[in-house]
Amino acid sequence: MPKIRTSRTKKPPEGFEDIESILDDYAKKMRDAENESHEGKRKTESLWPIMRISHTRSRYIYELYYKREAISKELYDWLLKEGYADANLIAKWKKPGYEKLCCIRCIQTRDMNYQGSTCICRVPKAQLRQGTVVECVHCGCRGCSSDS
Amino acid sequence: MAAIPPPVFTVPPPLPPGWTEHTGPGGQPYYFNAQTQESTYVRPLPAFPILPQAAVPAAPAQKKPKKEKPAVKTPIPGTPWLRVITTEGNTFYTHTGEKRSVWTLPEEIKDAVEQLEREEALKKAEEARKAEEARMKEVERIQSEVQEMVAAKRKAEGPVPVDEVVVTKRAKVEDEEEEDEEDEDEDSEEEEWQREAAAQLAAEAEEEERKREEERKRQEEEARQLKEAEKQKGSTQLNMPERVDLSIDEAKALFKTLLREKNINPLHPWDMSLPLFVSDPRYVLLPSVSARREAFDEYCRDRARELRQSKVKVEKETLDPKAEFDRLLRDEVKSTRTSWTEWRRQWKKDRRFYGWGRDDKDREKRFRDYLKELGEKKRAAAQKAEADFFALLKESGLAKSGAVWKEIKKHLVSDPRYDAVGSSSLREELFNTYIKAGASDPAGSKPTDATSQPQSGPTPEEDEAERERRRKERKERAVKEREEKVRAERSKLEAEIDRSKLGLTKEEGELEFRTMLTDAIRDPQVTWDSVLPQLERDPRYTNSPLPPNQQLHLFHSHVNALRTKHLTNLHAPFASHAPALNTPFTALPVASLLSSLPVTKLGFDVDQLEREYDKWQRERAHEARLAFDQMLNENSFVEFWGRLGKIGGKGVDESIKNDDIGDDAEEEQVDMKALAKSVDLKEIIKVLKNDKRYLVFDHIPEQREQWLRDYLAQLSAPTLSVHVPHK
Repeated sequence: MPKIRTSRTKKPPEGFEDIESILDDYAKKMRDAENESHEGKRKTESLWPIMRISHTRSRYIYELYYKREAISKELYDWLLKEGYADANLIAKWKKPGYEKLCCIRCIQTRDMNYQGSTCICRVPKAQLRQGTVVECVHCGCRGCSSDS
Repeated sequence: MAAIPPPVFTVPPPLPPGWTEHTGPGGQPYYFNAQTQESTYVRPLPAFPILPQAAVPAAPAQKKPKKEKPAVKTPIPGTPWLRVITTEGNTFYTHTGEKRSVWTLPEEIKDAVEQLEREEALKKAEEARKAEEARMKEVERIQSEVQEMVAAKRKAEGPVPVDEVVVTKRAKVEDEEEEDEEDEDEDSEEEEWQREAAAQLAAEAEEEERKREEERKRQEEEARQLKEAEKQKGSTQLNMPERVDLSIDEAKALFKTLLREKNINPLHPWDMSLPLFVSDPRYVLLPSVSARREAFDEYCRDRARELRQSKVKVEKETLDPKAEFDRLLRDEVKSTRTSWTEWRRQWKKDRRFYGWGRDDKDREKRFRDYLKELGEKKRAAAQKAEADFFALLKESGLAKSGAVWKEIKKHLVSDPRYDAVGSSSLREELFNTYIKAGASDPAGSKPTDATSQPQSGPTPEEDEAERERRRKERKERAVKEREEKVRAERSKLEAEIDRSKLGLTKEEGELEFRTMLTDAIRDPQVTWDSVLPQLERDPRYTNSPLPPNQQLHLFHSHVNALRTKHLTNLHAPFASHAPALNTPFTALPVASLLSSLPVTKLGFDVDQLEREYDKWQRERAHEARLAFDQMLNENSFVEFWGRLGKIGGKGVDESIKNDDIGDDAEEEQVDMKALAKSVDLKEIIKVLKNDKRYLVFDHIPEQREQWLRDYLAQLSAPTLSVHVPHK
């Protein structure tokens, strides 16, 4: 969640105004997702849209900086500090094999049924049985292995 | 594949039920299905079995959707069934005897149909083989087919009329998508070739119909692609998907140019940008989404860098601080009365403000200069406005002498030159001056002006002269006033200086006047009136700062001083000639005295001299008497014995008379008393007789003795205690 900006907070670095509208859109979507009713949803399902928006936003900032090189280091750091993107998740994306990782929780090996394993969404499509559609409980990911 | 594209041409195929059309945030239309909650940018097409008549118009050349018709009828050997392929490319089966048609393949003819298809496949394979033989070593079969089609099409071109052409539609979504894309993509300049394309397509389609069913669709598509490729050759810039020929790099480049053309913002996320270019045919050039995303990222990187650089350049351009500051001045200082401090306070945090100048002093200087410029500019504008206003009055011809401004005003309000003069009172004033000038004008200058100029010139000139004159007058008046003021002030100042000087010079003047009097007046007998003429010649008198009464006073004191001087001079001979107090006037050598200097100076005659002498003797006697008393006081012998003689309570006379009266006092005291008694008047006289002051009164010894006795009598007895106060 980004921090609240007021007139007293420090001014964002240069270039922020260019992406502000997009980030605002994300914020709006996030609000909508938060206010959405959870009627008829499974317990695990209710958080998925929020996880998805957070992931998309992180991905957007990650791409802006690492893929497109469209924003400055300063602005990137500021965005991380302000919580526009999840720094831990981005750190994982930089590692080979984790390029598409959906959330940090999905690579947490501790609380799995089979000790030492990861989430189902980490399993490559090729290794799954044909036609199985997986939706992981943490974030609703349908598969985030690098080769799928 | 709309072939005829007038600007408002597209009559899109109707949407299947449940679908609605909307406009997305980017202006892009999208489609939404309320039942399935599905939305897409790709226009959904009705599925044939569900709604055959709502199908998309087959040939782009047609204006309205054409009804689907049977195109190819193939009798199935050995059965009464016909296999019918419609204009839309759908296949159904008709029982000729029962007049019954079904979409699905009936069981009864299944085998026959299969056999037919097998035959067709065989035929097709044979054809393909033939084609391959004909074109030698074509690697890709599709390509070969296409080329075959080209050849065929070229043969078939021309004779086939466009209208008759019925192009079958594939239900394949991708193809539809492509068509739609093309529809949107077309420009009016592409119309020509599009029409041509339609014709060719039609021709091809015609030919295709003769071919086998399976091949038909694919060939048609390929023919279209080919034709487009041809077009590309013809009209160079066109990029139509020709998947086969393009390498990955080329495709990527094309994809990037697509992005560039659409001016995709490099900062927007992929999902947001996608609808802007997904409908472009070049979108499909790249084989996979990941490749597209990669290309997109590359494009974004380049574009962002470009934008940054251009921004930096722009900044550099605008970064001439002086120009910036000047612009700020120009934009923000509208009034010549703007105060520097206010203005500075308002703008000090603006880059344009602090960007230029070493310090505020510099900036203030520039600011003041600008105010001056602004003032001049405004003044010039005001003058111009005035001149224009006069011209307006002249043109209107309403302003004659005796005209009333309020009336005239109504006719002029609409003119811009009326508004140009800012204040209404000024307008009225100008009007009045114009009237006045107009009144004087016709008499004198107007005729001459009228000859030289068509009436518009003289008024401003006249006005100019008038103004000049007024200005001069005002200036003169101001100068005069100023002079008066200065004069008054100066006189006041002088008076004050005089007053202070007077106090200072009074004593000086007195002294000077006195010296003048000593110089001028030696005679003690002169009067003021007699001496005045003589004094008036003296500059010291005329320049004297003293008032006349003081001068008179000084004069009298001077004359008196002269007189006393002469009198004292006269007393000297008196003293020498009359040593005693009783010397009579007659004893004096009167004649010689009368001729002596002091007397002549004083102008005394004998009587006056005698009076003066008597006066002098009286004074001398008086002085001598005082001196005698003093002598007695001074003499302690007289006092001691005089007092001692009093102790007995008896008067001196008595003690003197009864010398031997001795009381029952102490021996010592008796002795003293005896002694005091022994000291009598004679003893005292003996003591005093050598004193000059005693001797002076030799001529009246009795009187002198009497004084002595009186003195002794008034002496009191000596106080025996210091505590007893003197009487």
